[in-house]
Amino acid sequence: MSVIEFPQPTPHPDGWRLDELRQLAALFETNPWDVGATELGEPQFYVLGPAPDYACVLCISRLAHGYVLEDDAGRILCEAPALHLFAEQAARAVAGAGRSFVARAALLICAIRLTIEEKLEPIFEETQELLARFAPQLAAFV
Amino acid sequence: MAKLRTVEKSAPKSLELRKQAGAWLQEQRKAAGLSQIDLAGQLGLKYYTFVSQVENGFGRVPTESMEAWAHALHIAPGEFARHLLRFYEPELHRLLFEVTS
Repeated sequence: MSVIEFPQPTPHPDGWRLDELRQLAALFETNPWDVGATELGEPQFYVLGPAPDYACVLCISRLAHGYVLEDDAGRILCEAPALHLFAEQAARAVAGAGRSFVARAALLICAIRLTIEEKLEPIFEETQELLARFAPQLAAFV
Repeated sequence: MAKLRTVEKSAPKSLELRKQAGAWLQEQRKAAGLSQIDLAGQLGLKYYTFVSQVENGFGRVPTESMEAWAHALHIAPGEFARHLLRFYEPELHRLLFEVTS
């Protein structure tokens, strides 16, 4: 019997998996960002403000139980077991008072993106499936 | 991926100074015999992630919690704030403490 070895996801040097990093980079693509890690090696994703300061406006950390989103003052904006569950909570955090404009803008964009991904993509997929199924039949009529 | 480490090479002065502040804070924390978790606990933070954010040079110690950080690190609050001001607001630090009239 031969054992097939499945390829393991390559971890990023800073502790993020490539799929997580892609997702985060896509969510906050309007902002510059960087990555780092805590003393215990837990990865952090820093959403930065505009040049020339590049001050951190949001920070996402992956801890043992899930993801934590906090602002530049260490206030926890939301916690979620999975990245895609950030949508609703990020949207709620946008409305929170006391956040900087840049932080709110970054959160708002993130929330919109996630909502689009969650709500609209399944509809598009369904439509594509329908098209794929009926297009040959429609073509036969023409 | 659209923007991978967009600020990596041309790190501006303020970012570089925040990194220096973070390194100094990490040094002080270690000298006080604290882990990031210990320090976060003393500051009343739920997670230690903010301590890491600051030490990595991305965040700043908020003015309103400088006193608490100073006490936790066994540094006089005035001295602590003055030292951080050198990194966070170098021009203000220069005007306040370096320029002689």
